[in-house]
Amino acid sequence: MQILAPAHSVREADVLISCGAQELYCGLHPAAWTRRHGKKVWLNRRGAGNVESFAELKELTGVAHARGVPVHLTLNLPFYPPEHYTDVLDMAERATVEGGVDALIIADPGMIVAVKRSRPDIAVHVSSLAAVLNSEAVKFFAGLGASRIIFPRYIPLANLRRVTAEAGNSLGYEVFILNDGCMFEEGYCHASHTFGGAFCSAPRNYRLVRTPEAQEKQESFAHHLADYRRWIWCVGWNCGGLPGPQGYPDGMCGICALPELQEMGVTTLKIIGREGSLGKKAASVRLVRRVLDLVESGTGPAEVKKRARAIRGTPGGCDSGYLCYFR
Amino acid sequence: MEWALSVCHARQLGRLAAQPETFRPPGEDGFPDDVDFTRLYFGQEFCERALPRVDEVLQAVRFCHDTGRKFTLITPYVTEDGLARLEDILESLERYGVGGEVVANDWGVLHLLHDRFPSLVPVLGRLLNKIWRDPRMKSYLKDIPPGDRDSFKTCSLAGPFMQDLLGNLGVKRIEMDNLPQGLPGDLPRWGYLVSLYLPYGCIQTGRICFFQSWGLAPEDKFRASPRACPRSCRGQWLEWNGNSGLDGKVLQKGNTVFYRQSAPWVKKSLEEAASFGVGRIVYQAEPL
Repeated sequence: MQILAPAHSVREADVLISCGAQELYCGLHPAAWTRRHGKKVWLNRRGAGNVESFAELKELTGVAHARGVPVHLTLNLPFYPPEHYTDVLDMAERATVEGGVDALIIADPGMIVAVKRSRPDIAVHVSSLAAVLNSEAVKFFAGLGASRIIFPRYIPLANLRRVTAEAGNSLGYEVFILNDGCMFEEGYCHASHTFGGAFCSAPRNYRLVRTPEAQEKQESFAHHLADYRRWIWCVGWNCGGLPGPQGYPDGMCGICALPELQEMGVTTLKIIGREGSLGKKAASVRLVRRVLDLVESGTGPAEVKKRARAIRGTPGGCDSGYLCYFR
Repeated sequence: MEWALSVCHARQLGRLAAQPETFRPPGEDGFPDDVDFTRLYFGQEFCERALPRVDEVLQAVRFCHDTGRKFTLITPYVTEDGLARLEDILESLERYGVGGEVVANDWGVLHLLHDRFPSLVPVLGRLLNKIWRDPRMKSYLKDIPPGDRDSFKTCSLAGPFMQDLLGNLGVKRIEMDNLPQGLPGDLPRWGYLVSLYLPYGCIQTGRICFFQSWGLAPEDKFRASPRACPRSCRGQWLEWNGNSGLDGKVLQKGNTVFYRQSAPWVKKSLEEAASFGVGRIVYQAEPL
């Protein structure tokens, strides 16, 4: 399995590869796009943490390629308006030819079709925003020419195993392994961070409305809501984004599942957080690398789980389950 | 204009037969008094845990046959578990020669329909129609130059690549939410038959459910793993405060967050629907 990390500069690329990243991904928001569409029309899911020119992109891929590391570019909005297609396709072409990226990360099936028609040789990875939850969806996107599926968060391991077994091993399979949750299914969220941050996890009051049909519960609403807010703190706020006691990120995580993921044919482990600090990204790569080294050295699943928890150093968070991608 | 009634629980079918007036859209919510439902939507859009059983689907089919209504099965996004259950339902529809429409809200389900169930008519569900429905949209658009605002009312369905793809999958009809920022002016030229859902629009949905978790031990809460569900979403929901200028309410029912449109908004939308190329209204007394 390969470790995939986010980078938005040459320096980041260099450091992350040194820490153990074997693939990189980035976003691009060139000045030409901003001039044409303004700062409020995003080109991918994030307004920050992007490479800002083709020249920078070329430099980044050059550094990565020199060390044998491919670079993937996110064009991962859930859709692109038809009037943006020409610009996006032009950018995809320049990013691959001029910028040297090795694959495009796309969620919009129409955009996948468009890219493949204009440049069949460009590798396409299906973004988690496409919400590929089952083997038929894998087959659908394979039919469009995708070479890798990036699965959404929270697919239980038993389910994921059945998907990969049913869909076969002709594609690469990527899963989220560290940092950042989502309260809902990212691919079925019709709100956007563009419009003022995450709509789902913003602090708010919840008022329970009950009809006579509502079931009585032993647990009080207030008690359950308190648990809900704790969970939101984990998945929506990534535990405040602070490091844990060992210096590793104290957020969403799937590292103790690495043996199972390897066994079911997962090829790539994605670290999320393009806008994060380099320190956090580097610590993330080091954490995954340490646990992956255990797996690759033949350590058994139970021992990997035990040692992963110890390395991470947040037993309370692990016990709660709220930090876990694969429970 | 065709009117369809969307029903998501089999237990509602009996009441629909015995007391159809209880499903009449309320005039005070902006609906006309003389609605005649000629089509039934039955099933689940949002939750694979609440997928109906095969016998419940067939009960809905019988109801349509007995009352002279057309039948549409509505389906959710599904994991591999849900996919297997859905295949059983689709097989039974094909086995009994039911025909009818199936609304797909998952690319895998659409692919399955095309590959294995050619007698069923695929419809692109509103969850695969990705236009933004963010309640904050109206205030956000105030800062966008007028010439760029239309790009927030459209999506790739309006373009030739998606049109070709859906044509190849046999999709002629797409489903839409009533958008906070307004429907796209060029919708009639997109080349599809269009259904509009009232009065609930979907903002976000996911496999982790506040209501399914209620009453469980803390460590068992908020799991995506499909497991037994007590259906605590029935008869209760959460209202969210702070709707950022939305003309309606935001509420969380089951695993999904909706906006419920105000009566004036519904009324105006119904008056304008035909001019946007909408040929079908899908009314939901409750969304889930």
